[in-house]
Amino acid sequence: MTPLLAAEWLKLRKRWMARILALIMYAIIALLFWGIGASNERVNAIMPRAWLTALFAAAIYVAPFIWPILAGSWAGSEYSWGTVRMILSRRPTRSQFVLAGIAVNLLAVGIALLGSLVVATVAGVVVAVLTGNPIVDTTGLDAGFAVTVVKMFLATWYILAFYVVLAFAAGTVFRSGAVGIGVGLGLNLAELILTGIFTALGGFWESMARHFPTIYTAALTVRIISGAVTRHFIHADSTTPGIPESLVAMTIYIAVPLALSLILVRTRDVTA
Amino acid sequence: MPNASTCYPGKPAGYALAGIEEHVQADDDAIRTENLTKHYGRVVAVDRLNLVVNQGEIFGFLGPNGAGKTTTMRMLLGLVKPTAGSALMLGLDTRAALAAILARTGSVIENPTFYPYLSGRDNLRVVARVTGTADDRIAAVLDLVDLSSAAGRKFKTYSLGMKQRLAVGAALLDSPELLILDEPANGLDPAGIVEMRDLLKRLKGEGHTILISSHVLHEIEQVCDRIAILVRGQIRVQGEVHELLGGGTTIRVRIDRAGEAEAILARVDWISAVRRDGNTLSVTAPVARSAEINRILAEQQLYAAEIAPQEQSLEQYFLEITTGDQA
Repeated sequence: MTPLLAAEWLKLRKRWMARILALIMYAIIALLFWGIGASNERVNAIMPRAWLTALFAAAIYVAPFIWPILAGSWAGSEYSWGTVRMILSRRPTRSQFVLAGIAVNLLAVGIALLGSLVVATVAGVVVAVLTGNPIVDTTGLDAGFAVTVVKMFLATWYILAFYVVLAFAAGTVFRSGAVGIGVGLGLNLAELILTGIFTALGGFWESMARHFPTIYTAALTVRIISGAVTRHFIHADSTTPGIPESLVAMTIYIAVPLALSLILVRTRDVTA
Repeated sequence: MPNASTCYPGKPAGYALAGIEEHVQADDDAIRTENLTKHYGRVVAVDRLNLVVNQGEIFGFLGPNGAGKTTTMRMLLGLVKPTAGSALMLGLDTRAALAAILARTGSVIENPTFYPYLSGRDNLRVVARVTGTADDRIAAVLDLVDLSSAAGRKFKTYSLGMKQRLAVGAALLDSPELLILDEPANGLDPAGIVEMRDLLKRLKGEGHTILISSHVLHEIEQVCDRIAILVRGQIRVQGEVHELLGGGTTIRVRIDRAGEAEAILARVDWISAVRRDGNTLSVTAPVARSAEINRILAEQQLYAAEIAPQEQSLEQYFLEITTGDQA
């Protein structure tokens, strides 16, 4: 597995798409900071809360529309370029091939998230300076704040792992980068439409809509940061799923497409 | 193993494979398939294939398009799962020890495929990491396939010939014992084809075993020790190139009184046919009996200026085997 990971890492380093997507994500986060800085919630755009705001934005608003592009394209391109047979006719097993691709995509997302903390720091300082606030505002924060940041970083990464795995699996299952990207990006829109339909149907269907992935991705982040940002900025109520419940749901949502792609890749012929 | 009594289209009874059984020991096999079969739905791509490639030889795997060559190669490399049958490569069963086999095998399957956004050198780096090969082999391989000067260029800017050479280079990166090359001469210019031929001969000299498919039959004829011709998923002939082409059934007899000679030879029971063209006769008979033909004619005071087996080109032979029998 290690040699294959080294190969995937080399491919990632040389692939401009990852860097371009990260830059787009940073630009959108910076714009969000501009908007928050101009609002009454500007304390959330100032350090150290700026870190949580950036991670929240990445998890809910920005990254779900960015990283499926890399993951879907990564998986589907192996089939459209035919490189899948170049790799698999050497040593790696098919499972290793899929897992290494996902792993390096998750690595890219992790590095990009670390970058978003840097962007948040710079943007937070800019907002503070432009609005005449102190550069660091720790009002109302307790000693557990650092732990909250770490938890939020890991939760955001986990949420993005879902989108990455989903897009990667779709790209692999359908042997198409376009489908991988489409499924990854289309999930939120599909959920929106289905939620409307299911809610209108009521009863069982309405309860089903309360178990869609974005319910849990939102719940996970909101539950983690709700005590550390201002109450109006983010708010959890009694209907918001808890952290353990959200983690279990997210794990299921990651496991299903991953298992499907592994089963298919292991059993079907490589005809690309 | 193919049945030694198998008849072949256009061949008399008894025309058989070039005696694989006699000179191949199982231990010498680089590749041995047993009734290897692949169905795609109702389509039979490969049908009970029994292929034997000896260690250290260059083996030509021929057939018209759609005959099942690439599917066979894909099955050998574990890319496609056989519907039935088995394959041993380097003495190991592909079903049980694929990773170990692939560690000793280099391959180019169909068109060369690499990452278009990476340079030639970086693509070889990827392959080197996957195969656990040291990076210092890359320069040597680039030099071997004459791509050193273009190594920094992106793969997508390469010509087809350059892509093909890079693929061969990648196959050679970890010095595999066995090479499986599917159409390696595709896209090469004449000079490139000559270089490829020299490279294959050199690799054979270094002890590599090579299974090669190609439609450039002239090249196959020049480099291969043995060939198999596949038609509609089945092996029609398999044997040594020299025996298949030289062990034919036509003997050319150049003689002054050709009309008289034709009449005499036409009465010999083991001669199937005699055809006259000026003072040259084409006699359909076992080549091994050429001396007897000479004796029969001499007994009638007819003296041949030349008696020689009429060796076919591989192209003629291939067409004879495959024409009118394609899917």
